Amino acid sequence: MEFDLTPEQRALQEEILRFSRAELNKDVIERDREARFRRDLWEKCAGIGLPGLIVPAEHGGSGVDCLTTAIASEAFGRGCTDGGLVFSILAHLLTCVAPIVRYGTEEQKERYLPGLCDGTIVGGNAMSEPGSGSDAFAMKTRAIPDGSRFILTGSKTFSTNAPVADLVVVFALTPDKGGDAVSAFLLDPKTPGVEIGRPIEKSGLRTSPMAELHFDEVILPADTLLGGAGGGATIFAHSMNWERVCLFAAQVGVMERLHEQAVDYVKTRKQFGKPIGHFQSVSNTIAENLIRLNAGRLLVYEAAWRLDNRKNPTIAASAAKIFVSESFQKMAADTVRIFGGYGFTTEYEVERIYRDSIASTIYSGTNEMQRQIIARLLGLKIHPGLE
Amino acid sequence: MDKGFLSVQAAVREFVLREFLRDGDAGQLRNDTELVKTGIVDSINVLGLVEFIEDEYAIELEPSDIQKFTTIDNIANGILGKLTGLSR
Repeated sequence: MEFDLTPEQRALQEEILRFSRAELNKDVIERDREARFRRDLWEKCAGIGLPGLIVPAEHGGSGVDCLTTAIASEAFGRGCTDGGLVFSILAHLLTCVAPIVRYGTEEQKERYLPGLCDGTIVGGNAMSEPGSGSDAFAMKTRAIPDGSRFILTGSKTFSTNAPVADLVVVFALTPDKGGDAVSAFLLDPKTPGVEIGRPIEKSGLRTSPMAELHFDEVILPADTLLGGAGGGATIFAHSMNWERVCLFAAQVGVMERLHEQAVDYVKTRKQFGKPIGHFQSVSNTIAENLIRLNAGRLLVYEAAWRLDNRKNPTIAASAAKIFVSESFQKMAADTVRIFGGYGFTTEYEVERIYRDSIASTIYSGTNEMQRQIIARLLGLKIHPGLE
Repeated sequence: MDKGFLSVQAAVREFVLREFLRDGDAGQLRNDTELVKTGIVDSINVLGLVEFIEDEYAIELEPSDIQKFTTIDNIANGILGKLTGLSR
């Protein structure tokens, strides 16, 4: 088993780390306070290929696999202190770009992928509704067939990038054999009938824009259907596996940065005549969080490897998501405490990371749901239809 | 590899029993059991089924194909349709 990165992965990692530190980290405290999204920084990220990592080169991307994407995401999370920007870029990549790469027609790929890669198209995703979060498929948004087109009606909430998106993957119910199936559509938010609701103000990830979307008899041409009628559940499952691996790879990167910050601080901050790292309650905390960081990285990388090698990654992805997010939250809280009173101020930028960490156990499927996914795949739940 | 209907049906059934069900459920699983309605196949484990079919039979499935895979018989028919280029 080889744990080293390939030379290409190492080069990509170093480039993203160098770029992020040099170009993305000015005025983050102010951007966070103002909940300000910076489109110019998005375009800078496009300049080094972040929004199109997994897109084949023929469509303008880098064509890298999931493991390399995870390595790149980790470097991005480590180097960029604006967690909201990292979140928005990766949401675009994993929930809009990835489904088109995997399930798009050639026409859809040619129409959208170049722009999604070069920064001219910002992607988003709309799944959750006011009445359906964890119970995602209890949605009410419908796309009714009308000749060769569909008429979309309903509402979505918690749609990341919606206020600034140029393309949104929207999931809606379509009729199927007397019942309903979930289908996915590629929606231009400027289509008549689409209303972008008020921006949703959040505790963390504040520079990542989020809003509700409302659809009032929006006409969707047939060529906006992604993956065929009824393909939405498969497309959603696919993008969730990628999200649970690569989004949480970025969190591993943030944890690395927190670790570095904490170690630097406790070596210099003195109390009672000694660096505070000398005291066991501080050093033990740092040691335990390093274990969590390294374990989380291995879980993420194994899940990425499984995804690349068709080894059914679902349990591994859910396990990585649970472990990394809960470790991230703990580590962020511990880092605030290590910094003491200064950790509670915005100046030291660790309280912002703690606020960013709160949602990590909620998005991409709550950790409670992830535990149920694992239980389900272990055969621990009874199938009512067979009782 | 034998790609006749009975052989494909048996392979799919064996996969579903091995991956999705407990030992005691085998006797209740029929080839026309509605896999989605009974919760045996859902959005969580459907990708595992897709990977098995694609790898075992070297075919590529679209999400809309998967939508039609409601019973073991439907899945077997769908696989054979892809292999022969004929829809069933």
